[in-house]
Amino acid sequence: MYVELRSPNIHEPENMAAYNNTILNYRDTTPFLWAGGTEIMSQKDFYPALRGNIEIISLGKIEELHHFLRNDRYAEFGAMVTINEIAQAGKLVLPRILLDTINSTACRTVRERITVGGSLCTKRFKTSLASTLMILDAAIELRYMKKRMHSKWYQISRIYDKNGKLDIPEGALLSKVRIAIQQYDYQYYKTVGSPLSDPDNSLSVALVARFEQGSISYARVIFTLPSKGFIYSRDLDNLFTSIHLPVSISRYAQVESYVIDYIRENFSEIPPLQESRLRGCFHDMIRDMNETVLCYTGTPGERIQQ
Amino acid sequence: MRIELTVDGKYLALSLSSDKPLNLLLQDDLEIRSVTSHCNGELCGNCIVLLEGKAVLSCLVPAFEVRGRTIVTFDGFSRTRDYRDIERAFSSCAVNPCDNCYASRVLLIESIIRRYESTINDFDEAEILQEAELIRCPCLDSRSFLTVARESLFNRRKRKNVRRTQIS
Repeated sequence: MYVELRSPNIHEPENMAAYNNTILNYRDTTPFLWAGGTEIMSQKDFYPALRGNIEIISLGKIEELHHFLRNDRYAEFGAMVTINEIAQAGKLVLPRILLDTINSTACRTVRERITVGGSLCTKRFKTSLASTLMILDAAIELRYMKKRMHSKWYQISRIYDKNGKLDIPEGALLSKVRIAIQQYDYQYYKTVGSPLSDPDNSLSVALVARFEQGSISYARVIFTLPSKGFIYSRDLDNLFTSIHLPVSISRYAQVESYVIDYIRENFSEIPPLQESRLRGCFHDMIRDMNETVLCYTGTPGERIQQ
Repeated sequence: MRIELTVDGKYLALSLSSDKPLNLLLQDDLEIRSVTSHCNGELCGNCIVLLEGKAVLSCLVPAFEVRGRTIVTFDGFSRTRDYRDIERAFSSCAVNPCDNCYASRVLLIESIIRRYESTINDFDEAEILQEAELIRCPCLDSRSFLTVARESLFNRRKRKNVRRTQIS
């Protein structure tokens, strides 16, 4: 009978101008931005909520956030494009590692509800999509209100601090994601466990690399611990970049100990299951790289068959 | 908040909290018996309904998103002819899922069939096996789910083709 008293107010702007007006009207209350809602709805205390009346701005009807375009150099997606649509639209052109990441995020029924903007802005856990986009050097467009609406492009790594905590200005809206269309000699992605249902124990690893004369000339690697953040540093990339292939046992041990030390410095302790999974994933990745590189002849233009 | 929607062919207008999950809306406000689960975000997969013909986990859909939309639950779907195709597939494959997850599995299969029935493509097996894992109930393995889904698709295509031939 009194259910409407606690019911949040829903605003559904149909374009960016209407969104700006809504933001201006509720400047003091920090309205709640709603994309796909997958992460928010899977919180245990979401309903019935203890919070008082809140303002929810649902972004689903803003046409501009559903657009995507592609040219020879990059693909650009609005923040409300679902990750399933990205996988469908970019099947032939996007880096394979990104498609692997999307496909392993969830099954199609759930993927059809997860939006790219929402998955980059989750607060409760870090998604592997964000980390894969980081190593692919994706860029994002942020819109934020000063006296009027401004927009600016950033590298995706700029919206996270060094441990992966979301760090965007208050009230800013992530409106577009731009992904460069380029392929790598070697791409590896693996996830263990589900970040949605078990963020404390799951993890994922992503690596892209280019080879030159039997060694890695360019490498970017990232580990994602959903409940804690990312393990990503230039030092780690440099460790990989100078590696001669196939990877020797001593180098393997050196890089592995670097990763474990990095975690202990930045995240203190991690659960034993997650640590053993991390070691296992790292071992699988190096073994896979060694296996594939032994079949690689190095002729110009050749890509490793995976 | 006032919400108007169509559930199992009935047009309804409800007054409720705008952030109420769809599964609780169906259970509490409409007393639909086939949606029994509220896992509090555990993603158990036992609350699937068809929203505009596509399977969704109703615990992930807030009430304000279903304004003016059409929902089909197992209660309504089990009265249609399409349900017979899936029911027959379950019996012909000798697969008997438990009562808890049967409704969700049927609606998930229906959603998959709708994607494929008008094409000549065969299933993307990896995708269907991944879909099968959405429902966490251990009573049915993914391979059996795939078999039932394939058989259901066969039944559906056969029925529709026979009908098309009769009409022409």
